[in-house]
Amino acid sequence: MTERLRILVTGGAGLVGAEVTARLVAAGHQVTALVHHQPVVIRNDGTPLEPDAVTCLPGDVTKPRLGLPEAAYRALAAGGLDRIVHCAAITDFGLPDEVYQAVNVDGTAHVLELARAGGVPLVHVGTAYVCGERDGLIRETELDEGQRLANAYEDSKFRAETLVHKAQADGVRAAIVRPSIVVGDERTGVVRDYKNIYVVLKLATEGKVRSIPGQYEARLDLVPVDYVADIITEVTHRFEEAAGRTFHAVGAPLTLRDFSDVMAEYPPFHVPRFVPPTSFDAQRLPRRERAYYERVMTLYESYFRRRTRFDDSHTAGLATRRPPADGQDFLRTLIDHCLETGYLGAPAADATEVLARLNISAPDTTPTANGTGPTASDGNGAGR
Amino acid sequence: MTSSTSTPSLNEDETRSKVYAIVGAMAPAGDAALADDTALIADLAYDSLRLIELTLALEEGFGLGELAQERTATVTTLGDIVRLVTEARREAEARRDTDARRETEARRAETGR
Repeated sequence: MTERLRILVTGGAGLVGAEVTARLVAAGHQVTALVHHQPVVIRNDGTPLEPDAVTCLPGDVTKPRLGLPEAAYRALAAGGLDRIVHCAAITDFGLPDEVYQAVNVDGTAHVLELARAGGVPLVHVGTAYVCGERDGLIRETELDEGQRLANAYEDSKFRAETLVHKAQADGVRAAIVRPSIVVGDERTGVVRDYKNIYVVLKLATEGKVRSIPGQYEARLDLVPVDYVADIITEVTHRFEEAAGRTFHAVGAPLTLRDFSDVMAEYPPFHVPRFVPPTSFDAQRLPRRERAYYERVMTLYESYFRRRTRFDDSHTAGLATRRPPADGQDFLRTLIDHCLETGYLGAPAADATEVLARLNISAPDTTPTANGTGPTASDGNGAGR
Repeated sequence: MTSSTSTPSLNEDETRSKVYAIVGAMAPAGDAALADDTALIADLAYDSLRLIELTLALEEGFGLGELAQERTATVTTLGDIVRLVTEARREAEARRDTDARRETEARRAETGR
């Protein structure tokens, strides 16, 4: 790579954005990372990027002009950029609809405005799950197939990608990369944030959720964060070949049976039972399990029914690196890392245990609580 | 005497110290100082799963019945929890009063027969 490009990476401090930023910096490009809350770029393994290697620009994709001062925005739009890599997005589930609209949809619209104003090639990071609840083989050439979208996240990413397509029709040059479920590093399993699938793994292996409505034949696609960053970087470099096309950055698909089998190899783990959705009744669950089911599992439920498979022939044709060949081996690497860090395998004391330790019993006998309360609170004060 | 002082279970100071004890004992960052403006996530390192377990501990420890997700969703500080639990205890108390009254009335109706 001889040409030194001026590249704006939105969401530059995020899990994928930070890894993309690091790769583009290492390749010798002049990278500006648009950051929101966090003013530094910290890589997935926890190492911060040298402050003089990258320019961190505080901004906000939900605002017009990306929340930048007018002069700074104008400088970017007036020939100051060779590429935009749009990584900024909300990927957590269960947030209010407005949040997805503001960040994922409006954010993409604002980025497209900049791309249009400056005639800057755009690499848009979407998600493979814009396919919604479609079953079977999903191709990179497909977007709107009349599918049902399972949640506000998928819906927002679908609409964002639709905006990119419309802008392409108006002359904006863009390529789209669609990762599946982004998880830890392929070789080490290291991941900076434990979100989404990790939370489900934790609840299941700790036995907090013992039965899950789903099908053993359903498939989840986990993709290593370093692989996703490699594909985005490659598409950014070879934009002339990539322009107008979509690339699935997907990993090895795992059936829920594959998940169960791997979990069963770890002696301390509970293994959940997947029950046919039609015979599952949340009201029959014990209070504790029902709380976790209602507040967490319902967010992911539709993924335990889908038999999705992603075709990635565009990516295979462009990139040299291929995803993990063996999904179960990769899952073991991810779990091993979680065990090393203590995220899995060492559950914290639950509510009943903590109350027993504090000597707090049934509430109907109120006067005794007057004695235990202040004492226990002094105990906390001692740690100050 | 107002109704709230006549029932010691609704004493706010007592609620506060018990809430502090539970929140402190369950906190992932266990040795942090506690005050009403202490943030559960930023200061005490609670994550979404630990917050669910905390909800269960508060329900169980105060005998509250289920706290609806809409009510727990807006909670960010220790002070918010004290207010939520105080409110929920009043409601639980009122429910118990109503139940007791209904029972007495039912008994009266039976003996009046």
